[in-house]
Amino acid sequence: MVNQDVRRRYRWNRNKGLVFAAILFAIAAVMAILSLSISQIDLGVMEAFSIFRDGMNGVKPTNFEEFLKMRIVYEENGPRAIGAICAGAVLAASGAALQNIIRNPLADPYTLGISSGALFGMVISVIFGFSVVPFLSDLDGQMVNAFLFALVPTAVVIFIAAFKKVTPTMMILCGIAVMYIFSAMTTMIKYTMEPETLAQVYSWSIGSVSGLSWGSTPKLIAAVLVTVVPLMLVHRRIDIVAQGDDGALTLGINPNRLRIFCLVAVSVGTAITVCYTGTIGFVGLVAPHIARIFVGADCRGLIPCSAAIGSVMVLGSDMAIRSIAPQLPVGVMVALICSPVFIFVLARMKRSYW
Amino acid sequence: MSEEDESGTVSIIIDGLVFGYCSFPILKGLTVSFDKPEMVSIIGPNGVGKSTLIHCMNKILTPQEGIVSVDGRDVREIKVKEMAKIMGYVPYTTSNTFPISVIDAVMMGRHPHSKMGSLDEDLEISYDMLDRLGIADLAMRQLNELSAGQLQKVALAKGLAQKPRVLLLDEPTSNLDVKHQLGVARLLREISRETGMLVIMICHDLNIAAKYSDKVLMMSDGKVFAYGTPEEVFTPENIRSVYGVACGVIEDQGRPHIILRDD
Repeated sequence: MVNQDVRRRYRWNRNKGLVFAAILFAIAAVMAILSLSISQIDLGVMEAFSIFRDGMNGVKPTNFEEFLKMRIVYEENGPRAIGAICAGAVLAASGAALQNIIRNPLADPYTLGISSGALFGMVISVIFGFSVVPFLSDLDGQMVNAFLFALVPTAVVIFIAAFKKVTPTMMILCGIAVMYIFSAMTTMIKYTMEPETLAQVYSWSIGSVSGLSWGSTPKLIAAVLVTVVPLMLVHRRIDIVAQGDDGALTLGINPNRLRIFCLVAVSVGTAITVCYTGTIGFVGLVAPHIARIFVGADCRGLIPCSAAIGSVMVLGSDMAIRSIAPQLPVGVMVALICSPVFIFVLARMKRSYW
Repeated sequence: MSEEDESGTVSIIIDGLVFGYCSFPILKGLTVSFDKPEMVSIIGPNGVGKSTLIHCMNKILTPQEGIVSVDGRDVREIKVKEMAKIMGYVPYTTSNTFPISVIDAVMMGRHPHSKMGSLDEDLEISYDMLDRLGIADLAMRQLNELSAGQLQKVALAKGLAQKPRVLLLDEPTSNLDVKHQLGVARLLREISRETGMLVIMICHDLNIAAKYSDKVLMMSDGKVFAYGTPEEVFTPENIRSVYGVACGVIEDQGRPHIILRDD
């Protein structure tokens, strides 16, 4: 018989990640409310919150000052906060699953070439009006392009697998090669651009949540769902594959098929996110490592907890940006704030994972 | 439980197995069959193809020629998911692991059987296996804090928790001290008898193989050199021609005991 102590500790270990994730998402929600007031004009937290509530209830502003505040708090800061939360969650949840299933600490949508593929697809759609699938509206065309090009790294892996055994390390190397190809092509396009478009594309390639409108919110929430739900459905299988391919096979799991499933889920979510925020790097890489320190390597807790940490990271960085230089792309601040935190955490880490 | 009803009737037929890595031949037409739930040891010198044979049996490798069939069905036609209920596998070493807890690692063995609401039962079975291996106290420890011998026992518990009808083990006692080598070999034989499980293990310790196996499969040059009871297989002549070492064989506790000699 399992003694009560072991049973209790087992259950706690199993659910710890979910508890942590809930707490972190609550923190993100509080931060989002606080972030409503952060702008270039002087606004109190309570004032901003009541303006936001008025906006939700459709109260019309009566003078220019109110109109301006409504615009900043409700039209700009609101969707911007939700966008930051969603983008962080998608990228970090993706990174967590990919690192475990590819067994490589450097795996994330960025290093696997998924983000840069999506960005390239979007850039050719915006700049040349070229859509892979014809007869789509501009935005749909962008998104479909982003998705199709985001799938290129996965397609390369499947293509190689047709000829030889693909090891997890090869997947990373392929991804990095694809990333460089897409970056090079995006750079070539940038070279031919007008200065205004160049600035726009430049800010996408660093990642920015400024300029998001309420129209983006449902799509970004959908991006979170299409990434997190499929990954959580296979969380146990990811854990088993993380322990080794041969062992997984003898437990009835085809490791490469599962990897491709995860890559596709991540590509869909990343493509949608990139269309609205550009390629925010670093979150997908670092948030899972921080989450692992708190909740361990078990994907059931790791994926939601990473998602929550990613949200806090991107939202926190965006809040910092809003208070100092609103037009700066958030990707810059994510790297600037989170890298030192990450190095500190690595140095203080008790357990070594890699 | 359905898997226990089927136990005790397993048959594996391996016919003309050929496998090579990059045209370097390892298995050269190996033919053998196992038809009883008993304890079988595979012995033979390094590089003779013992692990390769096991990998061809559980679909990790696909042989270039020849057939492996379980209960009359070609393993190529059995899906990995179904295979996981028939055959378990305890690999040689499990390095490169994420630090998960011991109980989580063993619970993974329950994956082929687990469904909604089976968590408690799976936990019970996993904990029971740790208990039988004498490492229940490690249940909540992390894998990366364990010694090589303890890790090996965890891998073994995972294989046993899977409750397959056939369990393949690659040197399950290599990292253990003498006491635990005997303990693990004895436990494997016990479980084989108890549950009607066919246990096939690669073993480098001839005396462990001799003491606990019902059958011994001696391999040489990618083929079966001898297959039979320990008394039939462990003769000074066989050992000399397969390993190239001189030895004497005496009887101890009704089993052959091999004494290696320097000549």
